[in-house]
Amino acid sequence: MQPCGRLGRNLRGSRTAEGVPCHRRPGSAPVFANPQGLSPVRGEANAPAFVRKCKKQCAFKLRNVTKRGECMETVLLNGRDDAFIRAVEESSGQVVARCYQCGNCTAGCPMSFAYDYSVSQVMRLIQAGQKDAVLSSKAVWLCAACNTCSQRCPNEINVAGVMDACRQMARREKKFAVRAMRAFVDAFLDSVKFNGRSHEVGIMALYMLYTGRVWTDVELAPKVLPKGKMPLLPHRIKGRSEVAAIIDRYKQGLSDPERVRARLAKDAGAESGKGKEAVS
Amino acid sequence: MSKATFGYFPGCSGLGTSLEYERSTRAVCRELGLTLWDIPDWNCCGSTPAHTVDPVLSSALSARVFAQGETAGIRDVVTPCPSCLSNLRNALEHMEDELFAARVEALTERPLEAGHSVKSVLQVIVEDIGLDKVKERVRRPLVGLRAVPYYGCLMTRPEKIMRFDDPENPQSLDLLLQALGAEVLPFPLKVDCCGGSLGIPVRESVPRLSGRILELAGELGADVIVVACPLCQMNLDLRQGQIRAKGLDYTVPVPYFTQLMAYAFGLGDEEAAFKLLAEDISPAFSCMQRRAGEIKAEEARVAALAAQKAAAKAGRTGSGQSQAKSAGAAGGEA
Amino acid sequence: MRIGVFICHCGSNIAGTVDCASVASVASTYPDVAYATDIMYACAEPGQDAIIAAIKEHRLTGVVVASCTPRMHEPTFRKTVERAGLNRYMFEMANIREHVSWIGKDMEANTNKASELVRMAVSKLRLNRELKPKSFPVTKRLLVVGGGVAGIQAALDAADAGLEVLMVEKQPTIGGKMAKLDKTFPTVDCSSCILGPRMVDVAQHPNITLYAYSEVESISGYVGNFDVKIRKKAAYVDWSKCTGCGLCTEKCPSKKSYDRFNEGVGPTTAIIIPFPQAIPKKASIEREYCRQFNTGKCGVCAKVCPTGAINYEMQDEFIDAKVGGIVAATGYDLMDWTVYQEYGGGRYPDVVTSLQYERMLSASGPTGGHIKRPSDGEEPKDVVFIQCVGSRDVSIGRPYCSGFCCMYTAKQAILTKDHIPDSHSYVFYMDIRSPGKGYDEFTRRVQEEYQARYIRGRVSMVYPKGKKLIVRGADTLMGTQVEVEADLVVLAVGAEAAKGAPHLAEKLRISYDSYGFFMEGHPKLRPVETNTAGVFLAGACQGLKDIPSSVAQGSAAAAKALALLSRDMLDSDPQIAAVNVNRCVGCRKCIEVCPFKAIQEIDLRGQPKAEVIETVCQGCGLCNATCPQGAIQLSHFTDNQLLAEVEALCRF
Repeated sequence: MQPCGRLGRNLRGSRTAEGVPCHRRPGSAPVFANPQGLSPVRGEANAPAFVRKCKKQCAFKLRNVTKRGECMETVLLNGRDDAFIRAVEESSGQVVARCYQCGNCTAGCPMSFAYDYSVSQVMRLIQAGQKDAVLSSKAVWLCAACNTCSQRCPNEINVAGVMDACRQMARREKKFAVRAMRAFVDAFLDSVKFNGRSHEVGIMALYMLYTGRVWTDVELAPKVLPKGKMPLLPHRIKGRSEVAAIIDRYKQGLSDPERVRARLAKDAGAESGKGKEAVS
Repeated sequence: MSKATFGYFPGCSGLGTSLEYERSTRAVCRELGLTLWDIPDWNCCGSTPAHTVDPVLSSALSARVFAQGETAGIRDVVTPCPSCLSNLRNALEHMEDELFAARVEALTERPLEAGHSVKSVLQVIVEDIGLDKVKERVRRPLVGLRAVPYYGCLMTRPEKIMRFDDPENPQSLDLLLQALGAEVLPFPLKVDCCGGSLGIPVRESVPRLSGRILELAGELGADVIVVACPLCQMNLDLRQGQIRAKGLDYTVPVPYFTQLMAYAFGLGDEEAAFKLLAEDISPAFSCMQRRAGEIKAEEARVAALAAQKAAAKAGRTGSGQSQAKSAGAAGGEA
Repeated sequence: MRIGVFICHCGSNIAGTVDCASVASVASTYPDVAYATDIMYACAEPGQDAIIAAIKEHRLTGVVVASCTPRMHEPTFRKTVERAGLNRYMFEMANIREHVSWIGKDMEANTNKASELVRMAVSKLRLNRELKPKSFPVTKRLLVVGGGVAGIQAALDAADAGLEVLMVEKQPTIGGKMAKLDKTFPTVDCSSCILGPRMVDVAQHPNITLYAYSEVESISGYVGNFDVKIRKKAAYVDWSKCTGCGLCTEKCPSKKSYDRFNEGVGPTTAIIIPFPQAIPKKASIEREYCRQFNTGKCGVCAKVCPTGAINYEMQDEFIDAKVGGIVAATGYDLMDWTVYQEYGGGRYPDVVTSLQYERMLSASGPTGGHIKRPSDGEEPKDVVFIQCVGSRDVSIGRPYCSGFCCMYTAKQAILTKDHIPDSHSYVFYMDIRSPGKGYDEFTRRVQEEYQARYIRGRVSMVYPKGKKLIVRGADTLMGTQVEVEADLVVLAVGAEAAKGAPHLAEKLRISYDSYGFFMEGHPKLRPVETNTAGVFLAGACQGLKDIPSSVAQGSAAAAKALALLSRDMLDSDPQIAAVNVNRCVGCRKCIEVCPFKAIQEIDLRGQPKAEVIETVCQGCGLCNATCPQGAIQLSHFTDNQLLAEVEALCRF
C-alpha cells in the first residue's frame, strides 16, 4: 500500500475518496513498509522491529488523525542522510548549517498560507537530513521564487535557491506533491518546445488537459480576446527546432555534470597529449 | 554600438497579455532616442518554470537568446520584463563557472562570446538616459494624478544579481513618476509579491497577494497603481475582477509606467494603448484633471493674496515708484 | 660562561612527540653548556626548585628552558633565576611546544627541530648581558574617560583610596546611558534613584575633578607619566555662575533642536539642561539650533538669566594635566538601525528604538512618563517589541549578540503593562538570553505574571495600514506566519562602541576591533587591562555588558590603577634601544621612524647624535632595523645576538 499522492480539494490535508488519510507529512513514515523498505533515517525509533515490519495500517493513525492529516512519528536521528544534505548544498551553493531557524523567511513568505511545512521548517528538515519529508512536501512546489526570504535572511542564505534546488530534486525523483504546479510547468515548457516561445492560450489549453480543470480563468476571456491580447494562434519562431533540441538534450541528460566533467577532462587530456607530441 | 542602441528582448507576454507594455515601451524609447534592435528569432527565456526544473535548462534558453543577439552584432540587451531579465542575468552569472558554461553548451551546441549585458527598460531610462531628459520631453504633465508605484519582487531582487536600486525601498519608479509630474504616494507594499505565475495553479494566491496590494492602494486613495512587470500587471489588472468577486472594495486602474510616459510625452492613443487595459483608466484621468484644476485655482489664489500683501506694503511705505512697481507686478501675476 | 639547559616534558604535551632526554643529551655538547637535563613540569614548584638547585650546585651563570611559548612563562622563569641569584636577563627560552610538539607528530623531525631551537637559544644566551631596569617616579593621578556608570564606579573607588581623579565626559552631564533608563532589570529599580547618589558623590568628592562637556584632545607620555590635553568645549554658559535654575530653557524661542538626551523623542530648545538630576546641573547652548548664533537676533537667555551666566563669546578651553594611569570607560551607542528598510528605515513615526521608548516611559522624560504614539499622541494598546534588530545579523555585518536586549525588552514589557493595564505586549525573539542572577526568573515572570505574549520568530516586515502598523512575523514553534496589528513598535536595536571610540583608541594607543570595542589584554585573564601599559578599560567599551558587570569592571579597573600607582617609583623595562654614540652619524632616520617619539636629537660636543628617551621607548626595534650604521641597538635583541641565533641554525 503506497502513500496516496492525490490532492484533496483544499490544500491542507483532507481525506481522499477512499477515506484513507493522505500522508500530508510523509516524512513521518507509516508503520507499514513502503515498497523500498523502511529507511532508518525516518524510522519509528520508539517501536520494536516486529511492529515496524507489520503490514497493517496503524490503528491509532486511522482513528486519531490530526487536523493536518498526519501523526507526528518519532524520527530516528542516527544515520542522518548526509548525502542528501550535501546534494542540496551543492545544487544551491548554500551552507544549510548557517541557518539558525530565526523564522524571518517564514515571516516574509507570501505563499506561507499554502505551505504544509513553513519555510524555516523545510530548512530544518534539510538540516536534519529528512529527504523524504522535504521532497514530498508541497512547500517546495508552491514557492513563488519572489526572493523575499533570501533578501531578509540574516545569515545571507539564498533560501529561495534552496527551495528551488529541492523542487528540482523532487522532480528528478518523480515526487510531484502539487500536481497543478507540475502540470503548469509542463504545459509551459511543452508550449516553448513546440513554438520556441510560450503561447498563453496554448499553455492554458495544455494545463486544462493535464489537470482536467477546464474552467480555469474562462471569465478572463472576454477581457483579453476582443483586445487582441491573447492570440489564438502561436508565434512559431524559425529556430523552434533548435529550442526543442535544447529541451530534448536536457531530458536525455546531456548536461549532467558528471558527464560534462568527464568530457572536459578527456578534452584537457587530449590537448596536453597533442602538446607533448608537438614538442617531441 | 553607442549607448543609445540596445538589443531588444520583448519577452513572450509582449505578444499577448502585455501588448500595451510592448507598444508604449517602443514608442517611449523612440521618443527618448533609444534605438531598439529586436533580437532576431528570439526564443522564450523559460521564465519561472524553466529554472524550477533546472538552472542549466533556463540558462541554455537564455544562452540561445544571447547567441541570436550575437548574429546581429548585439551584446547589450534591454528587456521590459523583470522575469526575463532575472533569467538572462542569472544565465550570465552562472556561466562564469567553466563547468556550468560547458553544460549549457552541451545543450545549445553554440558557444557564447564574452561581454554580454542585460538591463531593464526602467534601468536604462533612469540610469543611462537620466530623469532630466525625461522631464524635458514632458508635454502633458501628470499634475493631479495620485500614483502608487509597484515594483514587484523581481525588479530589485536578488540584490547581487539585479544590482538596481534598493531592494526594500526602491525609488527609481517613484522619481520617474515625479518627473512626469504625478504625485507619488509612499507605498509600503511596493516590493511585495503579487503571486506571480502561481495565479493559475494556485488560485487562492492572487486574491490574497494582489488583493492585499490593491486594497492598500485603494485605502491610500491612489488613482493608479503603476507597474513595470507584465505578470504583476496581469495579476493586478486582468484579475482585478476576480479579486473584487472575492470581496475587494476598490477599483484601481493599473497602467504600465511606459503608458503614462507615452501620455505625458504627448504621444497618441495608439502608443499609450490605454484601451488595452482591463480596468478602465478614464476615472483616474478624470480625478487627475479635477485635481489639477483645484491645484491651479489654489495657486492663483495664493498668488493673488501675495500680490495684495505686496501692494499693501508698498502703499504703507508711501514710495510712488515702488507702489507702481508692485501694482504692476500684482497685475502681471493675477 | 656556565649555561644550564632544562628540557621540559610538559607532561605529554611536549614529551608525546619530542624525545626530551635525547634533546638534553645533545644540548650538553653545545659550547658553554655545563649542565643539561630534562624535567617533567618546569613551571611547577618542583620544577622551579630543581632549576634553582641546579644553578646553585653547578654554579650556572645562565639558563635555557626549552618548553612552552615565552608569552606563557617567560616572566615565571625570569623570576625563578632571579630567586637563584642571577640577573633575570641571563635567561632564554626555546619554544618547543607551540613551535614543535603542537605542530606535528613526527618524533624524529620534532626532536631534531627541538635540538636546533635549543642550540639557537644557547648561542644567543652566550651574548646576553645583565640588564638593570631604571626607576622613574609616577604621578599619582588617574584619568577616567567617560562618565557612565563604569567610569563613575572607577572614579569613586580610586578617589576613595586616596588617588586624585580627573573625569572627562563628552556630554554636558555624566550618567551615560544608565541615566536615560527609566527602570533597571531585574529588580525594576528606578535608574536615576540608584545612580543619582553616585553621580552626586562624583561631583562632590574632594579627590575628583569633573570636566563635563569635555573631550580628550591628545595624550603623550608613558605609563606613570602621561601628559593629557583636555578640551573643555564651549557651552556658551559660564558654569561658575550658572545655578541650573532652568529659566533660560523655559524662555528659549528656538524649539526645534534634536533632543539628544531624550533620543530625539520630540524636539527641545537650543539651550538645554539635559534632565532634572543632571550632574553638573548647568545649561549649555547647542550652537546649531541657536538663533543668536545663526541669525544674530535673539539673546533671550542672556536677558532672563538671573546671574548673567550666558556668554556668547565663549571659546573652547584647553587644560593640561599629568596623570599616571588612564581608565577608558566610554560605553556604547545604538547602531544605525535605519538600514532595515523593511521596518521603515526611520520613515514611520510609530516605530521607535528601545532607548526612545525608555525615555517615553520615564517620568522625567519628554512625555512625562505617558506612553504615547509619536504620530498622534494616542495611548497604544498593542505594543510589539522586536528583538535582535541589528544583532546576530551577518547580512549587515553584526554577527554578535548585544547581550542585554532580551532583559531590557522584558523589563519594558512589564513597564508597559504597569503604565497601560489593558495593553497587550508582543515580543518577537529568537532566543532569550538571561544568564545573570534572577534574570531567567525575570523573563519567565514577564510571560507568566504580566502576560506578555512571547513569539519565537523574527519579523520580516513592518508597514503602516491606516492608523495601525502591520507586523509580519513568524512563530517557528507553531510553524506558521503570524501578523500583529500594532499601535506602536519598539525595536531592540543592537549596540556598538560609542561614537568616536576608535579615535580615542588611537590617542590612547590601544587596539580596537572592527566594531570599535577596545581590545583587552587577554580575553579571559586580563579583561580590564590593555596591551598598553597604564591604560585600563571598564564597561561596555570593552564589550557589551549589563550594569552589574560594568560596575564590577569599574572597580576592577580602579584596583589595577591603584596597584600601578601604589608605589612612588616604577621600574622601566630595560629591553629598550640604546645608542652607540661613536657609530651614530646623526642622520635622524631612527627619530623619524620611531612610532612612539622615543628618540630625540642631542648635541654631543657639537655633533648631532640620537638619544633614546628610556622611559618612552617600547622596545619595538624599528630603529635598530632602520639605522644604516647599526649604531642604535635594541638591548637583549642586538644584531649580534640575533645573528648568533641565525648562525647557530644555518650551520651547513
